[in-house]
Amino acid sequence: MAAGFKTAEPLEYHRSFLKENCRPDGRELGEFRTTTLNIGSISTADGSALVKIGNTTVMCGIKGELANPPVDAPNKGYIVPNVDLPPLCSSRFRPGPPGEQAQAASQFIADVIEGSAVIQKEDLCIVKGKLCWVLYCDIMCLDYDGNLLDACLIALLAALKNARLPEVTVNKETEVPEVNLENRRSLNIHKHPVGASFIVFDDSIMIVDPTAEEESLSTATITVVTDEEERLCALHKPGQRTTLSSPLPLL
Amino acid sequence: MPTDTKRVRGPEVSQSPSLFLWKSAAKKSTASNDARVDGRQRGQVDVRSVFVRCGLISQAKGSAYIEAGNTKLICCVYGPRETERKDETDMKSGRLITDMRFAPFSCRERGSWIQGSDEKDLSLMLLESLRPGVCLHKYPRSQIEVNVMVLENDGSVLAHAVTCASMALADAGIEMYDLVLGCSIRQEGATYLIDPTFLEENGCNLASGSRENLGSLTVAFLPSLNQISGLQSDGEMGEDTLTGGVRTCIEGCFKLYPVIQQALSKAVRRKAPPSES
Repeated sequence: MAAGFKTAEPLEYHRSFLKENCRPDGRELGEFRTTTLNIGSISTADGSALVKIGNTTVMCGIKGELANPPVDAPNKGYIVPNVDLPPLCSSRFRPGPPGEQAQAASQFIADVIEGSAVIQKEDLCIVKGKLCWVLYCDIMCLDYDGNLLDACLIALLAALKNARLPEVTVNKETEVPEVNLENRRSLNIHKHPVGASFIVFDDSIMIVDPTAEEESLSTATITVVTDEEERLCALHKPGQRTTLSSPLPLL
Repeated sequence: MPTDTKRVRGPEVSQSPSLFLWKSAAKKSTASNDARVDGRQRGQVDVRSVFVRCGLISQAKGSAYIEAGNTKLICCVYGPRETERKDETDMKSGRLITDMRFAPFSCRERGSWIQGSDEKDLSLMLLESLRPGVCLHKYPRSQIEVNVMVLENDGSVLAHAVTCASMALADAGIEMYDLVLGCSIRQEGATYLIDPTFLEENGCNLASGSRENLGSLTVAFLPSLNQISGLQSDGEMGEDTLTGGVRTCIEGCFKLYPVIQQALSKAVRRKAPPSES
């Protein structure tokens, strides 16, 4: 009976729970789902992590490659994050080039990396002007049940901490790089940004860590990223209704 | 490669560090003729032990995860649902659509996000192997989607993809004639290596005498019906070696069968509603 009501009137179904200050899966309004983390399972990647927030499953793999540094910043390397939402994670995604949500998520992760200085790009430079590391951070969603951005951030951070890049020296005579796969060093992580996503329901109620159904019924979404010193790294509010100023202090 | 405007861009050209390995570390000959690197035997039906689990993805109708050695694959099944392109709707039977992808971090060299011809080829082979096992005439005017994602490639990817996909189909409740199991071997001269790892698949042990009978073979098999639904072979093998290889793969499939059945019955029991008591 409840299942029928849920399909026919999803908004009313959720409202009836919110009146009692709780949600259909039994959580409080400010409660996150259980998060599990599995690090370093992919041996072909230089660093990897699998995160599960409730049912949302995201896997991040890091591969390091060598390239010439950019012309305008010869002492910096590259970090290239990319989020992919393959058709296997949910029936709403079709195969083909990345859709809007995937592109927006990729850009958001790139902005957080820049803004919070998780890794100094100078650390990725091997020889100034000639050789640098490119860290390809490929984030893949395996199961989409809401709150994608938080999961991607956690997976990225865990994979970066787990990543071990081989030592590279440049042979002075031949100017060819030489890689020693046995000697590996970890990356230097300066900051640890953590994200929290909220949705606004009915323009008045703020809910943390939404599931996919709650996201589809929301009127606005906000993601806040802070680091361990409680400084704000990024704030992401992609359009939708304007929110009242009073919910914001709750953050 | 055309620039991909929809993804965050890195440098135009980048090279994998494995191209610049130190000369001393580069050449490593394979071990003696009897032992394989992970302790299994040559010339014997010694498949890697397998971890399988069904029902991991909440959004999919059915899903399965398989881990054999370091090879990790996940498969999701969606459907039966309405066909997307109305002109391809078949009034009498359903359509099966398969899609096999490699994650960029799954192989030693980083793969690109855009699907290459290898992936399309494997998807087609997967489709041909699975189609005889599914009762498509029971789902007219609909399509069933099978999506396989390879998380880590350590050899015999197609064989494990076939097994994983048929488990996911069973988990989704799609009617099937039988499970389709896959097994692959690498033939090197007189001996064979069953369920090869990535290095064994691509390596070449020239120490084992003549260059004939060097190739690999993948077989997709329906155990209860004793029928082969897919066969893929690479390289040069004599007629007897090839038939011997097929028989070995079939034996390998029979070894896997009880494990898969057990995993499926566990999954069904977990999903079943609690009994009234």
